[in-house]
Amino acid sequence: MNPSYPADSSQGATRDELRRDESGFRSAWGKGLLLCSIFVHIALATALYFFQGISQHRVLPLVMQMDLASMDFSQDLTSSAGKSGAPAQQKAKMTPVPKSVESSKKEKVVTLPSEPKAVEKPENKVAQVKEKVVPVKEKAVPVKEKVALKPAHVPQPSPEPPGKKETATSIEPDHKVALKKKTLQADKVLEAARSSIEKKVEKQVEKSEPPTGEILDKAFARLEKTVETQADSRSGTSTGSGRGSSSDPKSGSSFGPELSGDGAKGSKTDYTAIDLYNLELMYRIQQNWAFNPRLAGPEKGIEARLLIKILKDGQIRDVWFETRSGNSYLDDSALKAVKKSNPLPPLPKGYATYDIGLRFTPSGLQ
Amino acid sequence: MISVLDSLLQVCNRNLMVKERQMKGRALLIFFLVLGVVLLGRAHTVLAQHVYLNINEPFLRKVPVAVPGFKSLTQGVNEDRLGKEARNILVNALDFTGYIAVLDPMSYIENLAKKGITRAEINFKNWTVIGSELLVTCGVEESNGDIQLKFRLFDPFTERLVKGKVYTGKIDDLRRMVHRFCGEISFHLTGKWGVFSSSLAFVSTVGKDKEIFISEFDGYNPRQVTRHNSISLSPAWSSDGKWLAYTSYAGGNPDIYIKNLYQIRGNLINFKGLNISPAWVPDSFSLAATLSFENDQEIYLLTGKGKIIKRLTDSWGIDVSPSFSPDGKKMAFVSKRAGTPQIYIQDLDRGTVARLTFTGGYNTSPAWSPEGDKVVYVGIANGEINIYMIGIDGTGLVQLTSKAGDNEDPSWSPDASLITFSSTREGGAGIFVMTATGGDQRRLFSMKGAQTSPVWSTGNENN
Repeated sequence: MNPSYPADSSQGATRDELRRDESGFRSAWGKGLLLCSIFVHIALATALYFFQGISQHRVLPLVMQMDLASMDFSQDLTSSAGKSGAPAQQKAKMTPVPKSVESSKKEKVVTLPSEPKAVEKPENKVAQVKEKVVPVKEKAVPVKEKVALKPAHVPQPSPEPPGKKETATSIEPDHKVALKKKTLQADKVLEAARSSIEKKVEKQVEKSEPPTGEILDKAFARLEKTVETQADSRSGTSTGSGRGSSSDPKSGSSFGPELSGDGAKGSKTDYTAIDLYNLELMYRIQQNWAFNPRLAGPEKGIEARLLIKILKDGQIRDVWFETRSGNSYLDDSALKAVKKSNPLPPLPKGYATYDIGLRFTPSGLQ
Repeated sequence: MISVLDSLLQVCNRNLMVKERQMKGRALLIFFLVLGVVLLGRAHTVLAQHVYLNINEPFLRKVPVAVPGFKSLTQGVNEDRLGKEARNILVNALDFTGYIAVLDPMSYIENLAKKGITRAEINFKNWTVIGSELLVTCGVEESNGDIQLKFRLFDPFTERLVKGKVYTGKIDDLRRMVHRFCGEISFHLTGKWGVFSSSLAFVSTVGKDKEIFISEFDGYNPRQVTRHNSISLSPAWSSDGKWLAYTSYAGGNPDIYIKNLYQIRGNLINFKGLNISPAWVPDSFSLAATLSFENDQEIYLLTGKGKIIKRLTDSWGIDVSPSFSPDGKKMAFVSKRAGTPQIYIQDLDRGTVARLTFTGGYNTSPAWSPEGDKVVYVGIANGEINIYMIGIDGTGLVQLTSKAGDNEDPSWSPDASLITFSSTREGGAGIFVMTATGGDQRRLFSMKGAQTSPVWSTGNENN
């Protein structure tokens, strides 16, 4: 069959031949062939999976970037390390990847032979089938590029580990992991980063304790004061809610520094940090809440419940009503208060996102 | 053999691979969608048990509104000047409401007078970021004394044009045109047209005499409407704003004059004895007044022509100062039937009477809110004359003024958002205004002599 099969097919197989061929499948070597083909299929499928992972890799950095942006490792690192160097490192880490991919495209053909044997294997096979070469190559190239990258770029990823030790492990499987795994990794990294920060925080408990108390007192005092003094809110809030500033927590707001500083020094516990954050949040939103009881009408005891999702950098990602008050003016004013408060100060350390409910009840008014 | 097979299989698989790749892409997409949904769902459940922050002290009690400079549309010589004037009128009028705060132009990022005033030309982010919840733009076009104002009201958060109006008129009508649009803004916010097209009647001393004056709602452009060279008091507007009833001593005896403000005609109520404290029945050409021709001061219902319809009160103490509920079915008034002057409410259909005020020994001058739920009145306590507000069920008593001279003659704006009154807090009696909760107390205008008894008409030009 081995020699006849292709010949037959090339000549145009007759029904008999086909039948013969079919029956041939039941023969012993036919089974062997079946097994073999199954095996090869599986092998190919895994190879394909492998290739896919690789070819996807060109996209991967992008996806990774998105993850980073939303979780904002850089900040975590920055602030936990207390140095602005981290973002730069991160950038350095990020940029080479696309670059190398670019270059790999050009070099593709040339670099092929120089690649490690293990990876070459599938390619060699591929190369034997003439027509295939072009498309498969495309896929194949990144593979070796990947592998090549690792040794070549070792110095670049290496700055990473000091910040997040756990990422070091994540770099190894890099080339094999599909997208799924990557995100998983990110979770791990996040958790690890969190735990490492917690460790750090614990170490510094003693130092930071008194300031935290002070800050808390200050915050309370400020809240009380602001409630009493009807100072001009505009200037207060507009300076208070400095733009974006995701990269630099210090420029966040008048209270941002307090908060982030607190985080950097290491607050006593997470509880305190988030408690303080809640205070700040309340203060901010109250500052921006314009509500005139007259415009709301005579209804009493109305309440609007909003849920918000805050990102690491203080951006409000999501706002939605848990329950509307039924009074459109109150609902509207509450929503606007939240929107005006965006961006909020960066979250305390250890929080990638923060969900919180807001209960707007103007019942305190006459 | 295997290698050949392999190659064959690979040929077959090439197509498969392409497909599979697509499949994979789709699978990934689905995976992320599912992940997203799951995460979102989780977020919700987590939130359900999450902390709630109570927000119950709005720092701003007023709606922040941005009013950028008005745009000159044809670059006419006068347009810039008129635009500035119109903007001032608008800003003052909005401030007057007590529930709108016009944001400081210094904080504005965009210069719409240069850039453009239509929805497409505005970057609303620039307005939400400064906290403005509404944005008013206007284009001014002037030619030969005719002026056209193109007003637009935007909600920067929804980036929606809430209202757009074009007003055309003579330059002299600038205030009226601008105030019309203020009415639109008010209507958008409160569902009421506001006070902008109301007129204010008040009593002012002229030499030794007291005469009645009428001005615009904010005291602008006052003009004298009575020239009795005598004492004229307690002006009262009919619902349609065409008639003004007041008490005057011009004939030696306090009589009630019913004056048509648009034609030279009127009626006189001059029964024997006192004819005082007129109050119009809402949406009706009839009024209540205190007459004493039966020796006791009682409140009577009269036609606009001065004919008695019926006697409303019947008690041995004096009954004065009627004020009707918005539906005209009930009447608040002052009676001394319990020994001290107190405020009572009478149900006109059933004839039942209930005492409203029990606090303080001297309560007078009730004014029923146009919303129907409250009455403001003047009370004397601790040697001070102040303005109080009480629910018509007798609950929620609030003192609105304190330690600021004598405060008297309260009267509501037609949208019930403001209360005007007279006060001696700055020396001589002047006319003041405050919000319905007693906030933002300020003097309306300064004028020679002493002014008292301010009343707003219920006029409305917007519809």
